[in-house]
Amino acid sequence: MGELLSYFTGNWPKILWLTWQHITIVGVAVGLAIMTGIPLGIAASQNRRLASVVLYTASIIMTIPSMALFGVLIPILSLINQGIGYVPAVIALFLYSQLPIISNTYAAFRSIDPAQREAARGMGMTRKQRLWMVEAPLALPVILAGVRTAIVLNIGIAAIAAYIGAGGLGLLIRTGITQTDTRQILAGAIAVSVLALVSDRLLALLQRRLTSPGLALE
Amino acid sequence: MIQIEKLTKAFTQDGKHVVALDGIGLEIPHGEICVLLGPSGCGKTTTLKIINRLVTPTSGRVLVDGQDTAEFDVIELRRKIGYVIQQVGLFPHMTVEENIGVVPRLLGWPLEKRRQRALDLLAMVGLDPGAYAGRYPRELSGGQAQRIGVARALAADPPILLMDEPFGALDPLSREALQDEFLMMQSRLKKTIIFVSHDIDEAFKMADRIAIFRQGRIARQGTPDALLAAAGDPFIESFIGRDRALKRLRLRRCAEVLEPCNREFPGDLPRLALQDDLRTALSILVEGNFDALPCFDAEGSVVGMVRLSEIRVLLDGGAPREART
Repeated sequence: MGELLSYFTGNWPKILWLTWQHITIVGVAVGLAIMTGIPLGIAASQNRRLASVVLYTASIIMTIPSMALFGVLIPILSLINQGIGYVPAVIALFLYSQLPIISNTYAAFRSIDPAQREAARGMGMTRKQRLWMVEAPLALPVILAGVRTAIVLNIGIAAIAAYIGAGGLGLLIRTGITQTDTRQILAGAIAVSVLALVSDRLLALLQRRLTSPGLALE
Repeated sequence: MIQIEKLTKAFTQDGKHVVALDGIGLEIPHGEICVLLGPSGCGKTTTLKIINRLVTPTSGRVLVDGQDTAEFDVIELRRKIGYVIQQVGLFPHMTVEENIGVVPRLLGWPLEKRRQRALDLLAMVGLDPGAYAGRYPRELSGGQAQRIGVARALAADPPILLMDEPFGALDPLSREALQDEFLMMQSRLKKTIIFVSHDIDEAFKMADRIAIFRQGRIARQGTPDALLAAAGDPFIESFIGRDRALKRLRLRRCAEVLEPCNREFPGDLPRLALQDDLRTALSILVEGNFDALPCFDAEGSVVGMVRLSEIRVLLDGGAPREART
């Protein structure tokens, strides 16, 4: 225990740097996934055929083990000289983010009360106004829950991306294993868990701030 | 004035050709309530939704003050027509004040003016503005929510109001209360109102004019009294029921059959009030086996009497007494 603490105190610049790397990989991947997943989810909520294709595909991606996905990406991305490192990690996490974000967006828009949609239409809202004034605020809490799931999930998966040279906190675990250095393994594992927990709490706070009090009341 | 001309609506459902509306024609003069009455699936809601163009008719047209609604910009048209639905459809993420202010906001009113309008309307629909403006729809009862639904529809002071079974989901007590208050409001506002209902009592109470729908057509239309007086019409009789005399009396007030008091009444008799409807009066007369009872004004002084025989005359097709003298 004391050894672990001294490892932390002695290596904190390195740990902070790896944490920062970890955050950027997950942040960029989920950021991109939000930009594609939410429009896809909205489109799926309005088209049954599209919905089954999109949700099915996203579910299948989810079942691919992360190691296998990294393995598949290496030869493909090698064609543009990006076989290992940051780019394949971001792409893999981007793919894993699709299911929680798309399916939550889809569910959120599907669950909007038709009476509210009709009232909005009958009051003379344009399509855009209906989306921004009514549908988006109603859907937001559920969409944010999906984003939260994606982020916490990806903080875990990103630890494995150290094996394809993407850096991040997984690096501590990887080197710890190769050097049979328990301190490093534990330090990496603890840091990943703390990062996941803190992110989850912060996102929950954000979710609450962005949700109308009218929706939060029970 | 709204003129509905030869509306038809046909569509294909599960490979079958369905005619939802078949030659609907209707005229609603300015400031009147026209009730579209009929069972579900008879086309009354479809007719309503054609007026604000939520539904496009297969043929026919709707004129508002002589202008074809198809020529309006659809968004502008809807903002000029208040719309109240049975499920209310308040936006749960907005406060009561914001809900009422939606159409004013779409029309670009400044915040202060929207707020003032919301407070005025809350007072008008009988809710304390201070207590309700900041609430969210989930904190409201069904009756309160529907009052706000009505306030929201009136927010931008539209000349026309479309109401699709607005009080249908309420319990009988709040429904009666809302109907009464709405009629009071309407006597000042003088909106042109199309009101969909499947409740015969409600229709005869609210309407200046009723269109009875059956299978996509208007089977009968007219004023409530004319419809109820149409003796010998088998459709009306089966539709309205055999108690139509009572239904007619419900639309009339004691004031309409009042006669000068020509005798002394003992003090312990049941009391009739000028604004009591004649169905109530009849019930009280028959129950106590009276041929006449004194009628009191709001201050509690006798203003005349109501005689059973005079109620009979009225049902016989006699014009109300005021009209004859």
